[in-house]
Amino acid sequence: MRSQALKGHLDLLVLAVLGDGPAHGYAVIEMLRARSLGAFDLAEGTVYPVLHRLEGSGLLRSEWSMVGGRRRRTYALTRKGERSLASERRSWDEFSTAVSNVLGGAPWPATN
Amino acid sequence: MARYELIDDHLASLRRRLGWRSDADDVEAELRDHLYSAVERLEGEGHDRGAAQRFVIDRFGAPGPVAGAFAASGVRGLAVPTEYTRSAGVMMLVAAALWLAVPLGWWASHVLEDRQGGWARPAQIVFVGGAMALLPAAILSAIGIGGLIRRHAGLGVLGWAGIAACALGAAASFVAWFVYGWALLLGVGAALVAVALRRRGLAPRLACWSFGSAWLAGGLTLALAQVAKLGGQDEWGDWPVAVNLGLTVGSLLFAAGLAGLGGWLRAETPVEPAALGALAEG
Repeated sequence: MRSQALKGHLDLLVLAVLGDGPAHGYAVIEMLRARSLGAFDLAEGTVYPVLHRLEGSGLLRSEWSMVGGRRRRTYALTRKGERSLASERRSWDEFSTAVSNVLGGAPWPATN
Repeated sequence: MARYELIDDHLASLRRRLGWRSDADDVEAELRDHLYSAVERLEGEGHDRGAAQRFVIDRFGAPGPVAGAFAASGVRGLAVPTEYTRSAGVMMLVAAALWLAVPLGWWASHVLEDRQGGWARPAQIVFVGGAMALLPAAILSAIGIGGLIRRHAGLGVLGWAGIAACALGAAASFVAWFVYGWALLLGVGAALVAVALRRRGLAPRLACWSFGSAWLAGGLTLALAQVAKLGGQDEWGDWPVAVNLGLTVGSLLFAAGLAGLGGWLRAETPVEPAALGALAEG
């Protein structure tokens, strides 16, 4: 998939992945790739600024833990993030339905 | 924990590019966890150690674009070093040198006046020399403070109130002999800016406090020296030694703070304009 098209929806995709529960950055990226069947294949390092920005906007919160001798940062949706995900999901459903209808080529009703 | 040399080199390169962030340690730790986890997983699947590292690095992205993505992750309030903030650092260093010249000139003038037994030509010229250093010193300081505010992506109402007071102080320093007026304005302005800077936690602490407390300490020194009647009053009712002493303390501390902050700004590697451009385009 074209990376520019993907970048436009990355916030929603990250929120959707974290909607299933807290995860660290690597897990978020792996889930994005797995759920898209490999179609979403971004440079992984560029996903972290998105996570940080969403946290700065109050949509995510993060906490640190020690795993295998390394510091690990785990992200989770905040209440605001949950509301934003629900709202963005509705908008996306409406948009994608409309696009599908147009691309499906439903015929213009005959007037005479 | 196993060490992965290629990953460590990649992280070191990223760290150099992300050094401008106040949370660079956290970012590095987070990215290390990602890269190490990915290599460990591939090794667990039977891949060769070197090949696993190269594959993971390739997927992660080159240091430049990744650092650019961090720089571009919020166009409003972008707290990054730029060529402008670097130039502001140089101006602060020049200002620091000029601030040292001000009390030197005034002390020299005082000594000359004593030797001459009156307020005559050589002493007057040296006094004016010190005073002439004051105006550019104050203006360059105010410009440098503007760079500090830019470096911190704004400092809120406190920062703007601080720079307004500093700008007024710089303008008032045109009347060099009116030390009480311009020093008070600069003192209050610098203190407000220092508090705002420390709240953001980016700038070096010691330099911030030296910069912020300079003119308040200078004013206190002047007041104490007057109470102690240090040097006595001259024929116009002024306290030249007390004023010079306060001016010296204020100038030295202010110059030290400016040098510390200016050196910090100047030493930072600017974020490439391309990264900022990419950010602005969203």
